[in-house]
Order: sequence, then C-alpha cells, then structure tokens
Amino acid sequence: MKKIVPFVFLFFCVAKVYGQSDFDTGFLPKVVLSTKVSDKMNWVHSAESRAIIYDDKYQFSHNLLDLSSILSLKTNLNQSFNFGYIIRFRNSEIIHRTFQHYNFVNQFSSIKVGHRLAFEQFYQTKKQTTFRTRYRVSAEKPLNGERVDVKEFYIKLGNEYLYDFKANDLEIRVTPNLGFKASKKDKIEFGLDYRLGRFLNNNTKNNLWFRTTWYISID
Amino acid sequence: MNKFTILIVLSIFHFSFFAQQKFEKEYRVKPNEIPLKSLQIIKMWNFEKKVKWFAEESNDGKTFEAKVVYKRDRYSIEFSEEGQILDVEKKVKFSELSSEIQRKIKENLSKKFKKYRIKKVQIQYSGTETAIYNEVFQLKTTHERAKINFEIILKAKKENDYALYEILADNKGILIKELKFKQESSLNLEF
Repeated sequence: MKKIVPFVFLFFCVAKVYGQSDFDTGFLPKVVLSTKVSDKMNWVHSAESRAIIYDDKYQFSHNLLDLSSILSLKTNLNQSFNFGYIIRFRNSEIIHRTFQHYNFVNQFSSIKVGHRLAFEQFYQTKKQTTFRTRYRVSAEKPLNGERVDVKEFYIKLGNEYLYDFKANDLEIRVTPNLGFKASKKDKIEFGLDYRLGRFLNNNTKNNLWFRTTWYISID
Repeated sequence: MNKFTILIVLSIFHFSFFAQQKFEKEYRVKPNEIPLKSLQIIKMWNFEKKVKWFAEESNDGKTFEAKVVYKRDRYSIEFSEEGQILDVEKKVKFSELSSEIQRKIKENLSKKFKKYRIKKVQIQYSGTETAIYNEVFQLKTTHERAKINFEIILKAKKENDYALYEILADNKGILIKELKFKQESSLNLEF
C-alpha cells in the first residue's frame, strides 16, 4: 500500500500545479486481451475508455471509447510487427485509425526494456487523412527479486514522443505505473499518464490521466 | 451501467479468474530469514562485498541463493532449505574458458543446433563445502576438487525458429542437459 501512496500524491500535486493552465485530467481504464493464433501470431483486442474529471472546471463526463483489433506477428525471439485498427467514438464523432508498430524487447538481469516505433493514419468523414509517428521506450523492474513472479509487484516507466505531421507538432508522454502480476496469464497496472502537448508551438497543453490497464493473455 | 463503469469493475474483480498455475517464485530475503548454516558459511568465506540473499520456491521445494561480487566476478551460491551448500556459479565470458573446452562445446552445440549465439556462461562448482571453497578462492590444492560443469544460455534454432535454451555441459564439453525456456509475454511493454 505504501508504494501506491506516492502515485496518488503526485496525481493531486500535478493537478493542482496545472489547475490554472490548459489542463485536463481524468481516468483512462483499458483492457487488453491477447489470444494466440499460432506460434508466431497473436490477435490482440483492446477497449479503452476516457472519463474527464477536470476540463477548465471540475466535472465528470464520459469522453470517448476506443476499440482496437491488432494482428501481432513475431519475427524474432524479442521482435514483433503489429498491424492494427482502432475505432474511436467521441461524442457524436467516429474516427478510424490504422497503425503499424515495430516492437523489440531487451531483457537485462532484472530490467526488461521495450521499444515501440509506430506509424498511424487517422481517417474521418469530411476531413483530411492525417498521419502521426511515435516512439516509446518502457522499462519494467520487479519490486522484489530479479524477475516478476506471480503475485508480485513491479514498476513500469514509459516515455513516448508523438509527432503529428499535419500540425507539425510534438507531444511528450511520461507514464509511471505500478504493476501486479496476478497470474501467469494476466497483469494489472495502475499509474499516471502525463501528456505535454503542442510542445513545438509554445502553446502547451497538459493532460494528466489516471490509468488502469488489465493485460490478459490467452494461449 | 455505462462502459466506463464496466471497465473499472472488470479491472477490480479480475483477480480470481485465473487461479490454477504452477507455483514458482523468486524474491529478496533478509539475512535473518536464511538458514543459520548457510549464513555461517558465507560469514566464514568472508567476502568483502555485500551479499544479497534470495529465496526460490517452486513445486520442487525451496532453495536460498547468495549473490556476491568477488574480485570482479559475479557468484551465485545456492543452498538447500536446511542450509547445505548445493553449488556455486561464477559468471564468465565464453572466451575465458580453455580453448579445448571452447572447441568441444562449440562442436557439440553445432551438432544440436542449426545456429546458435551464446548469451551467458556460468561455471558451476559442486561437491563438498571445502572443494567448492578451494575453487572459489583458487587455492592450489590437490586434495579436494569440485565437480565442474558449464551452464550456458543460448539463443538458438533447431529448425526454423529461434528459442532460448539453458545447456549444461560437463568438464569435457559434453552436453548433459538441455532446457528450452518458455517465452515470457511482453504484452504490457508492447501495447
């Protein structure tokens, strides 16, 4: 429990600091379900919701829902290519997105580091197709021992850079998480997702999301 | 109940869904949780650097492991639950092994695998406490010598696909044990 306190504290501190600027905060619960198609192929589905608790003023509103389906091809022991589609329901809008990921994961003695390079295409009725590229590095470290066993906690830190070609702008994300390996088949993570948007245009926007992600693998 | 609430409820109440599994756990322990006998051995061997203690539990039982750096080499000293020394592993580079052993191991690996890359090598010393001590502290005695094996982690392929293997070779370079690792999921680092 003691390990969770700093996360909650940080959450409220940052909310206070950015309380006067262009700042949104809320919850991002997500479920990721991976099913094995063959030794080299997984089919991954995810559902992510967004609920806003602060947007200029305190409020509680459901903002959007993302549903995705991804084909993940393992090309090596620690490398994979993912091809996916996301449909986003935001108010009355529907946004379609296709994406391609390249992932590689390095295992060190007790730290696991994952890299993800992605390209995304956004499609929306009566709007021009837009493109985005992103790179993320994440590191996972067990809180006890040298590997994450079942019923053990771990920390995961992520840092991501997203470049929007149309807006010619950069978004930077920092994601500290506390994870729990509930079984060999599932992990749950609680954490923060801090996003610094419009980084190049000197008109920064801050978002702080409280994340809960449940990862399930069915072999 | 809206979609958001459903996701939260699913996240919170999921723990009981996947209960049955093989039990295996490795964790850091404090010296006061270690069998006295193994603590005494480590104290007697008098390493200058800090010793980190780990416990490993599985369906096969429980063991304790002391990890320490001595003269820039990394050692893992494994003890039984009763505190008896089981073996000592010393991390080395493959190129540090004698050229004859290197040649033999390579020859035998080539027979077993189409392609391979050595990722980690440990010299494993087993035998009596005195014999192991003589090896770790490089005492030139002819009385009690430990049994030497080589534990090698490989990225290798037999047919089309690469996998990670743990190989045990004896002091003549003959492969005596082979274990294929099950690939750990990295779902949470990819998505």
